Amino acid sequence: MERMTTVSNYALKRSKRTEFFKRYGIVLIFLGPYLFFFLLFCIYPLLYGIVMSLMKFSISDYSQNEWRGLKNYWTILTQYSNSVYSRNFWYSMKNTAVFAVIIVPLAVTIPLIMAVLINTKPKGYKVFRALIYLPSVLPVSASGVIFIAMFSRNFGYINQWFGTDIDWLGGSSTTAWIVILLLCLWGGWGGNFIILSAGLKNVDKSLYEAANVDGCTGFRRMMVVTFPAIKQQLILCLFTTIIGYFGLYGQIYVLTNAGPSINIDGINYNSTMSIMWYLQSLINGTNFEVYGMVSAMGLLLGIFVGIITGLQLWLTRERKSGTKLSTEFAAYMQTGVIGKSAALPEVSDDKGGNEK
Amino acid sequence: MNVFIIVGIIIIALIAALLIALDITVIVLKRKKLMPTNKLGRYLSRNLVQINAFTVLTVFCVVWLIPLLIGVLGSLTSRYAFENSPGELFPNDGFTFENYLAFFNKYEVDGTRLPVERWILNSFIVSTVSTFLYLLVAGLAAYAFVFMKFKFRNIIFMFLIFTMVIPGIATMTPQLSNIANLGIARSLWALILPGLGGVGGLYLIRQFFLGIPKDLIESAKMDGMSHIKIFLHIILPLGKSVFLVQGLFCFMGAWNDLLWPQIILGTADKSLWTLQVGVAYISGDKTANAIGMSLASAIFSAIPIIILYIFTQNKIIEGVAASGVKG
Repeated sequence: MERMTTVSNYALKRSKRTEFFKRYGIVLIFLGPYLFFFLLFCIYPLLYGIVMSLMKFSISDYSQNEWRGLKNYWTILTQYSNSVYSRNFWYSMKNTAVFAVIIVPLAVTIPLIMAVLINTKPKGYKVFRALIYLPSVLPVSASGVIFIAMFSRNFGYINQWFGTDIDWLGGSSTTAWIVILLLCLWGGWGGNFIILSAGLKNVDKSLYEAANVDGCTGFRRMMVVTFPAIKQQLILCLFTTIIGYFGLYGQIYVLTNAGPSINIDGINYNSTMSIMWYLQSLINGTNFEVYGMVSAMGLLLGIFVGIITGLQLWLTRERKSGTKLSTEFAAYMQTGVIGKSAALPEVSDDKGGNEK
Repeated sequence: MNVFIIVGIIIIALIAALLIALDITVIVLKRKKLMPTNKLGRYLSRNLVQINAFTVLTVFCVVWLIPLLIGVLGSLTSRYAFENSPGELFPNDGFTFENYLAFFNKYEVDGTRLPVERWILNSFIVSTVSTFLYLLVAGLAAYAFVFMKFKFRNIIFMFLIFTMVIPGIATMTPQLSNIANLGIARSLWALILPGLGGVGGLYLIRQFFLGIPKDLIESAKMDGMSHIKIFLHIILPLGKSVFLVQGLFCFMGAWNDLLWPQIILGTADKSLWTLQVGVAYISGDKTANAIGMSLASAIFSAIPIIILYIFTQNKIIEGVAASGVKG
């Protein structure tokens, strides 16, 4: 070890002046690329979008752009009876919000139940775990096509098996929403399942033992020990699920493409239209002048989701920290091999220390 | 009604009834302290929860896999069978690969062939390149956030986390314009680069790094290792599991993404499409004539993901658990 330096040398090297360029140079090398992409593809579009939403913006012909102030927002928020944009915005927002209210609790509780079942470690639980997560890794266009094959009117498996003749996808908005809900239930909560399973795996076993000693078992133990221990994971799941389902798009595009058409007060709507589907249809449409309007809608949606998730995070706030890898490090110090802590006996972290 | 459905419902009902009966018997016997002390009795009283979980999970998984079964078998069902005897999982005229062949030889109305192999190639390029670049960029950044000291470190990270609240979808339109201004709108870079600013993966990797003791890094520094060496020789081997998991998530995200490629690539040049855009395009035809081929394209597009998943599924939960993901 020729390159080993003494502690005093090390301390000397850390003196301010020599350190500055060295330290911030290396920080820039490490952090720079990420910050560059973050600023370019996250912050810049956000600011640009705010500007765009205040304009009549055309992506094909910049000379036609003109400043409109808050007129776009004004139109969307208040001109319900005059503007097709406003009507469709509110209709699709209502659809998305109602659907989120239904799906979000399901997409958190079902994976929670499954994760608890898996965590009892019955025989072959790894196989079950893999199978439960499997539909979630499928591309949404693939699982969507499978559901079309199942729920089609003429050749769909469901109609044939149950001897019914329901036009699931095109008949009424209710049945179409049911199929979309089923598709979301089939492949839409795998991420939550992973996070909750990982959380349950990390729950300290000594907590269970302590609960057992105190005569607290079964359902009560779950309520008192397990759920508080994975509270943070539940919050995270809720957060990501809310954001995810306000961006509901793929399922709708593949299954119904926002159909069937529905007539409310003499005006036709696409009955399974979500806000993302609507924005996409505007962008991919032929009218290139709506970009300002679409930006305004996107920002309104962002503000709306931001308020909801912010409220949720504020209501459930708490702080905690993990100690998982300190065992890994202790293992490294003992054996000199990285990543082999499983082979070691219990090393003294704070919990082990308390008992001795 | 189909015979299989009736039989299936009866079987599930029977299993449920048996399970409940078993539970009640064991619990009552336990209460009255009449539980037989032979091997079976001890096994039952000790593993009652596991038996329940096993049964429920078995039934659940069987039902769970039915759509996948329909997808695979349906993709092997001929067009003739779909038109004449729909709803048969095992068609009378046997299984056939004609749907897969049709998917690779699909012609448009105007006579041009759909460039399916280009879609596959595009999907592979986008997924692998974006996964690799993201792991590199986010891994370095997470290292800086955890093991380097600089001004406003925590403030910058808090800001990054805060931007997660703003859904990426809100900035879709300006992003489109941004990409067009950068001149990469008609190339695959438009699919790769925007993802590199994502916060979620950085958060997961940072969360894992936080569990690595600072002393380890400090002592490596005292041994004269540079940050780059520490990253390569200590952090990378230690963080294998989290990089694997995040890499898998990245790959799946890029491979499965539909909305962004659809918007950015448009419909003009089909040779730029990814496989998912193509599958969604093909499955737009919802007739009995086309459903077999749609299913074939869907199953085909899922095969790489499923293979990848089979080899890595065991590590996913371990990786996420090791990083101690918290809110």
